[in-house]
Amino acid sequence: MSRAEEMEQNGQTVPAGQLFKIALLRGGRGLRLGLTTLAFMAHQLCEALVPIVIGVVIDRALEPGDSGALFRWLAVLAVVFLVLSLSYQRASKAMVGVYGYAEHELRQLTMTRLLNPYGLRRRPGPGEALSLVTSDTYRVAGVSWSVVEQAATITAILTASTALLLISVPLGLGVIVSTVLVLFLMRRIAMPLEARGLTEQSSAARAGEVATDMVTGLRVLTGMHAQKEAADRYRTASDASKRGAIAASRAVLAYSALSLLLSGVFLAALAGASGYLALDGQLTIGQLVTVLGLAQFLQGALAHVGTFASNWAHKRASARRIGGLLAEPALITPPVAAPGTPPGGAPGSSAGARTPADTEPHPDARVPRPRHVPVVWHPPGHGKPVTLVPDSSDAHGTLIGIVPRHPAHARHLSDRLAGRVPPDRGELLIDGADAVDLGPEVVRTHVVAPPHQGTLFSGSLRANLTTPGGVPDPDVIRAAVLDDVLEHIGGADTDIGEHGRRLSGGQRQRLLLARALHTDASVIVLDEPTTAVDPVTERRIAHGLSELPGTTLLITTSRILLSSCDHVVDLTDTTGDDIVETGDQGTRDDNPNGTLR
Amino acid sequence: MSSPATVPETDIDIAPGTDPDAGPDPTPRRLPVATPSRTRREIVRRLAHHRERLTLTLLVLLAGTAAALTTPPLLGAVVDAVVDQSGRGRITALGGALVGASLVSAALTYLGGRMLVSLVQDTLAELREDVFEAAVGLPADTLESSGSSDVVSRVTGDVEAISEAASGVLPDITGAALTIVLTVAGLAVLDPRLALAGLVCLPLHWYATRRFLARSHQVYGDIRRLESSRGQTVIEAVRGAETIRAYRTQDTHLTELADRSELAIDRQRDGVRLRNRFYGWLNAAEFVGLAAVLATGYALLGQGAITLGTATAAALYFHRLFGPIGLLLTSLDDIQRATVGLARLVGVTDLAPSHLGPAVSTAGSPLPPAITVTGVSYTYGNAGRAALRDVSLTVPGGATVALVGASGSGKSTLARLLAGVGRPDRGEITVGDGPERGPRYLVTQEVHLFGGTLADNLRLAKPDATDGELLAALREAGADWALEPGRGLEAVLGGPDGTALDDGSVQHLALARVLLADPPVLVLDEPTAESGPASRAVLGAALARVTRDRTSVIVAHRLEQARECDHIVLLRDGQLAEEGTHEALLASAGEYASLWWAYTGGPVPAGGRHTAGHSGTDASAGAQHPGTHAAPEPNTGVGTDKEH
Repeated sequence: MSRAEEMEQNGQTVPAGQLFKIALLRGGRGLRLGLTTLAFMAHQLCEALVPIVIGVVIDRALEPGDSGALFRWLAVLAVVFLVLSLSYQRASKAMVGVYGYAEHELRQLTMTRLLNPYGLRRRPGPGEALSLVTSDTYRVAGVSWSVVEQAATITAILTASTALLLISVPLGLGVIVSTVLVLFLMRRIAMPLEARGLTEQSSAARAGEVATDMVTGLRVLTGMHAQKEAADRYRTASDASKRGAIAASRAVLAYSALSLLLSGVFLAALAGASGYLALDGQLTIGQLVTVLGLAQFLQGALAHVGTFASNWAHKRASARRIGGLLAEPALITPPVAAPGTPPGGAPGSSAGARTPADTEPHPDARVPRPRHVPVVWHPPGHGKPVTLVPDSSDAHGTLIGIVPRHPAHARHLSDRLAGRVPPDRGELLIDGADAVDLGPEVVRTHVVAPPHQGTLFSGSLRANLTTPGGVPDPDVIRAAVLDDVLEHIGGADTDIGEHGRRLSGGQRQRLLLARALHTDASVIVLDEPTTAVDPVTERRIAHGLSELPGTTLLITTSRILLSSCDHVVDLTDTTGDDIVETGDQGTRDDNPNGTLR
Repeated sequence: MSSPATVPETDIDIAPGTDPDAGPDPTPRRLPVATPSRTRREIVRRLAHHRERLTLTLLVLLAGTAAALTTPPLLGAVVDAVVDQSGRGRITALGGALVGASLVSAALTYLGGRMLVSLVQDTLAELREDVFEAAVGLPADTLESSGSSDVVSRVTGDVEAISEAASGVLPDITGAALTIVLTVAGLAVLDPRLALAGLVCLPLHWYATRRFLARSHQVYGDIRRLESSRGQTVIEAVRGAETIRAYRTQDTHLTELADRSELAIDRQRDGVRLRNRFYGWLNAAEFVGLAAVLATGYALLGQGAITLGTATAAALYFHRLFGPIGLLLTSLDDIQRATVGLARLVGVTDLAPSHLGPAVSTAGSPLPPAITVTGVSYTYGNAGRAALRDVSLTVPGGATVALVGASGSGKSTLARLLAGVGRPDRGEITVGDGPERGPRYLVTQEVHLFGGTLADNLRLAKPDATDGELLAALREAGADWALEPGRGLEAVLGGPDGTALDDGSVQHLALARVLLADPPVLVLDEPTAESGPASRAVLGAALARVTRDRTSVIVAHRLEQARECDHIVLLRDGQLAEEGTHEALLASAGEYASLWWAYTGGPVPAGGRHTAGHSGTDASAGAQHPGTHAAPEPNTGVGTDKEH
């Protein structure tokens, strides 16, 4: 377990350096990165040797007119080029592994946190989450490139200044001092740039957000002929994005222009100084040519040194964002210790924030649904507990109806049963044990409560129907009235498209229902599972559900579903408006009989 | 088109063969992609709009590069000054000139860069705006059949890829190209023979680049596809996080992500191998060119044709070319990739030359028009079975008609056609006096809360509505809850920072929008599907309000809505099966009657074939809990009467 993961569990912030360490050192990357860096340094050393050899050629061959020297030194130049080319090729090949796996590991780390079973107190929106998992991990992993490139550049500068030191000590020292000066100065300038770049990055993404929003709601837009207005709004957002992008580029341009200017002044100073020295006879003509060649070469290297700081600035900003996510406290505190034997004898691990499937039997194996587990709900501020699943067990399965007061009430209950919202102590008892002590992961081994608006994933219908490798259960398919959907789309292996878009609303809902029924939990909670199906199909579903084994809890106001239930718990007569969280207009309805019109 | 005889009637229960709600056909067609030549023409056309700016920008950049390129001759002059023993004054002047050159070059590069960036961003913004407008203005059928994901990926992913290439690569390659041109010119000024010597490396460059581009297209295309499918996995897992938590399938999704990452890394290795070979050739070319320049310098110097300073300057010039040439050649690949994205964008703009009209015009005729449907058939894309077959019906002006039927019977398809979203394959739908693209309005089954404030959501229907109009519409629709303390027109809805709204409330806002748009013809597709029993009453009242004084068609699963309508039309397998008033249809004991009794939980009429198989079970299940069965009304809210 990495330090970052430990810190994540201890609720500490993860410093950017910690993530950089993962990117650079973990999984044997340290050694490989070291070797790669050496190869890149060799490459830059050769690059620095090129102007030196040019100087030597002019000094030893051109000036004295020595043809033998010309061939000798051109051969040396060829060797320099060969080493230069081969070392670069080796290094860049090795870098794919270093960089690619660093990015991969950071992406898995970030994604694991986003899917953490205990949830996040502040959950990033899809756009933000996406940019964390993709662009931020990309930038942080890119730190390995920064390291090798910058090490290589420093090597080039050191090689050049060594050559200069050999030619003239003051010139060599002058180059070293100038490099340090440029580094320091550009770093100071990079600080405000970092802050500015961040705000502009976000405004540049605005157009994409609006486009996604409008296209997702395109059917709604088309229905009200609002395409023109949508296009106008997109223009506004696109304009803001454009200004953001331009401002961000200008900052970068100003920075690089300054870097260019500094290196130009450096070149002039070096050329002037070496000219004076040559006039005084302290340098030969050949040495002067070498110095000037190196000065020109160093100009480029020094301009690169100028960008070091801003390069790190962007990566640090990304690392801070990922660190913020990793340090975000869990929505539900994981239980401190296992509270004795978990109900039902499930070997649930209740400690640690690792992905539960690592430590628990994989739910793939389709075993008979285990015995009935009593569930008692005691909403805070409400007089007496409500028994959702009674103690008595029925070998043939039990279908229990729960009548909520309104949709928000239904979501309220299913969210607590699913651990999407932390229950209060004493609020939810599973087989007599408090859900707070059990922790959501143990609760989920007994009670599965998928969200009302479940998600379908790209891929085949089968992949969305069972856990991977699971076998579809014909009884469940019949109960969810999925047989005609299968027939319609042409079998379980047909692709259902992104978000199941190739299915109709009613078909999607039936598929989600069948998915829920394919779990092996003792209690399956269905939150209004038939809002998009017609009454006849609904009636078949109601009948099918009542025939299935196991305990199914139906939170619904559908009369058709309720009529098939073995047992109905009516929550509409519970008092205590404190249960109501979201403002549903229905609660203020004064229509006494509750029927339409 | 299938005749009724070929339609397999497999089940006595309602067996929806083709589900019209499904919309897209099983194999969605993709939106078109423009040809390379068409794409080039389009880019040239767009840049031509900014001809003066473009020229000026290039001139400024050229001047900046020229200033930077005075460096090698100035360095050569330093050598000559030393050889000639010209004195310190000359060296100092040359040093001053070098500072001046870098000052001018830095200033001009900055200025030119600014100009180029705003030019590129302006052009790009225009293009993406046109693409978006074209995409949302596409005919509904085209959009439905290509899938909205294709549109989304073009207006977001492709635009971003191009934007990145344009703002990152373009300034660099412009600079590089100018540097190369001016360096060669500089060499030629020093001595044309030296310039020719430098050019011997060109065939090597040409060969290496050809080889690289021929293969890189495939490899980088693969990498991009693999990365985008990896991105897709990320998006879906992020959006479906709650579902994943509920089923504890984190491992499945993380493994899938890991697998896709590894695939992408493998292909990247191929890419690097390819690039390494390319760089190897470039290095060879650099050596050959440099050696040629040095050897030529040696020869010319021996003849006394040039000075040592000139030979130095030539070698330095040539050495200076390495960077820009490498940059230019390697960016060719980025440019190639960006043009792929551009082709996809131009493909969309070509498909639908934007002609978006304003929203529904409210200055309608005083009387709501009648709708006449004559012999309408409709088939989705290449789906085998027709979603609608030979449907004819009339909706009298101002009347409210319910469309009912099982899932997949064609209700939503007919609703869309009635609303003018899509055209029938055969037959005709006329509104009022003749066929027109009239101000018809559809409230869809899909619920979407748009980003932004409450007012933003409402003004989609009427962009110029005043706050007063918005408030009036909300009150009239009974959506006063939206204006309670802590909410209001300027409250941000949805998203991580906004107020959350349940689907029923979002649908309530959709009804308030109808009042703002005030269309004479209104089609509602399941407007209350996601509401609870109590809120259904409020939505029901809103529904009654929005259908008043309009010709309305309501697709209803909730049959009490159908009961309230003037007329009910029942579809079965895409055909009109029954029509009449609620009472008449009940009396005829057909499919509507079966639906009604299934819905209300009342007695199943003998011989009601659609539910016959289940009536016994339902009765016995009901017998155990008479309390939940006893209500005589189609009571959809078991306990609302007890509400406090």
